[in-house]
Amino acid sequence: MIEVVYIEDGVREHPKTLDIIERFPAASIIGCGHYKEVFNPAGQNFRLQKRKPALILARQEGKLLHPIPPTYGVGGTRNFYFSHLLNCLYDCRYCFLQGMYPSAHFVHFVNSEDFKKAIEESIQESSQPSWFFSGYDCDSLAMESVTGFAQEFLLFFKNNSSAWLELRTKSTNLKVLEKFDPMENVVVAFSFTPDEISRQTEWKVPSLQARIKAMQKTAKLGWKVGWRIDPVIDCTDFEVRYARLFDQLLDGLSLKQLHSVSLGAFRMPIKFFKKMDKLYPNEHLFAGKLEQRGGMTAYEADIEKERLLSCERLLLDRIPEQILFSCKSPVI
Amino acid sequence: MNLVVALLKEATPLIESWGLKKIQHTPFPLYAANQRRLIISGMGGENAAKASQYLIDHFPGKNLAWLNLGIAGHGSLPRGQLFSAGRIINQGGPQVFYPPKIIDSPAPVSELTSCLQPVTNYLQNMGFDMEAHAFYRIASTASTRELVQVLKIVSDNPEFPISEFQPVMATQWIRENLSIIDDWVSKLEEMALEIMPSYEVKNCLDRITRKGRFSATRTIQLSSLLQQSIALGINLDDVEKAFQAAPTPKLAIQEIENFLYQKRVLP
Repeated sequence: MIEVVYIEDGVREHPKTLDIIERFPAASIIGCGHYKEVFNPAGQNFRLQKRKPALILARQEGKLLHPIPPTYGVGGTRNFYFSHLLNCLYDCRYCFLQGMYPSAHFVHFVNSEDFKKAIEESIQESSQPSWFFSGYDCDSLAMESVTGFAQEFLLFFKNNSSAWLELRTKSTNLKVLEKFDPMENVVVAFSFTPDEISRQTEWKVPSLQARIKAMQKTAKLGWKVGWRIDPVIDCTDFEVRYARLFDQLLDGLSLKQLHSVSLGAFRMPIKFFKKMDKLYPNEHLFAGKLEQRGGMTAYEADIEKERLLSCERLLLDRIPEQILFSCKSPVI
Repeated sequence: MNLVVALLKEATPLIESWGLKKIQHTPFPLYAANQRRLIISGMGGENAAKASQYLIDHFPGKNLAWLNLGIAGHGSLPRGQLFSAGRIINQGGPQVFYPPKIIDSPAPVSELTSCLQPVTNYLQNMGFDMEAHAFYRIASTASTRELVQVLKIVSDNPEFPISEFQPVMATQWIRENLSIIDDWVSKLEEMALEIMPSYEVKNCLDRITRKGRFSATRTIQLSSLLQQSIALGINLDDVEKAFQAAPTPKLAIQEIENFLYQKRVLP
């Protein structure tokens, strides 16, 4: 899977680096001064690189925790995201990563000890419970076999039970969860779109059926699960398709295990969208009924409002209001 | 596809295999056939840079595939081994390139230092050549980095120093690795095609704008609408028909926008 591994000079001897390269003995190892030398240069094509991304092992420096946009939480008041990994194994056409990053290479920050220290310090700063979201710049679990992230951070959050962790994923490989007893302060959040949309936009992603099965299995193991209906995509037979999706998600799931459902429309900073559109000029999704407003490219306001209201109504027919959260676009 | 090769002895197997014809002698010998151009740059970075720039100037085209092929010393790999460059260092200079390797290939990836003179002091896991860095510096101004690649065959190493190398060996080794090189070239060409702007849109745009007085802004609008028509699965002939009835470019664009609007929902 990984054929080329770039290693920052400063992490060559880091135990995680040594562990990872031992697991990829056939990979070519290339040194680099700083990961940005490989990741940041202009004149790269995300689409072509997505065919075969390399792995970059690096140290994340500076600020390690970032506040999430104000309306993106799922019940907490202190919310942060952190990124042990940049980029994703999957290739969802609506994903902002392809507009945000110049490169499709995976950057794994091996200095997990620094992330844990930053989280510990943040927890101590307030008596309010803090939430930590790990799946903003990557899928939290899809590359577990490479990073060992969940294995390490589940253990960490087990010992820091006053703080919450969200693992956000489209992966069906959830073996790491079976190694732990379910934890009250961890939510395993699965992202979904209706099957017809998934087939058109979510490349390299396990099928909807497989992901629903994985979500239900996770709940049966005793973990709290979440649904992330984000982005909501305008499509033919919108209500029928989303109603069917919500029925499929609920089928066989105990509501007690459903921690939260969040809802967000397709929206993208204008600059990201322009880059994505240039990368995939033949993409139907990008020729949708979109407009620019508030620094974002999004569905025309009346369409967005109508689609979100429909989803909200469909969801409230099925789940309690207090676990439904709406992610509203921050105005740039 | 543009190939930059230092010596004729290195290029001969490719010229023969691809049936390339010599189309000029100076300033650089140039061979071509079927959209493939091979330039003999001569040895050294300066020559590689000039030959690459010559191709850019005389055969302009954005995001074409580029390949520098040649021999290199290496600190660890055996003689005759083909490798691709994953990091290209300039001896004595700060600029470093990391060509993204996106092609499935049995050729390993190695670091490579471009030097002014052949090297006798080998380093582990490091190749040494004279052209790659200069080639990459120039070619990557005309093409996305994934499409600019460097393939080298090990000509000397600590066991067989450069003094034991004879140019005819380069011909033999390149011939032995021809199937892998061929595969690289085909895949690079295929990827260049994947990201090439649509001829269909360009041709349709030319036909329409020839008929009316289109400002630069309206031409851009029209180009975008034609591209979106393809994305929405609409035949451009139908778009062109919708156009013909409109009396002015402004109304024509409006007409197309209306025509596309109802189709803008994901099926």
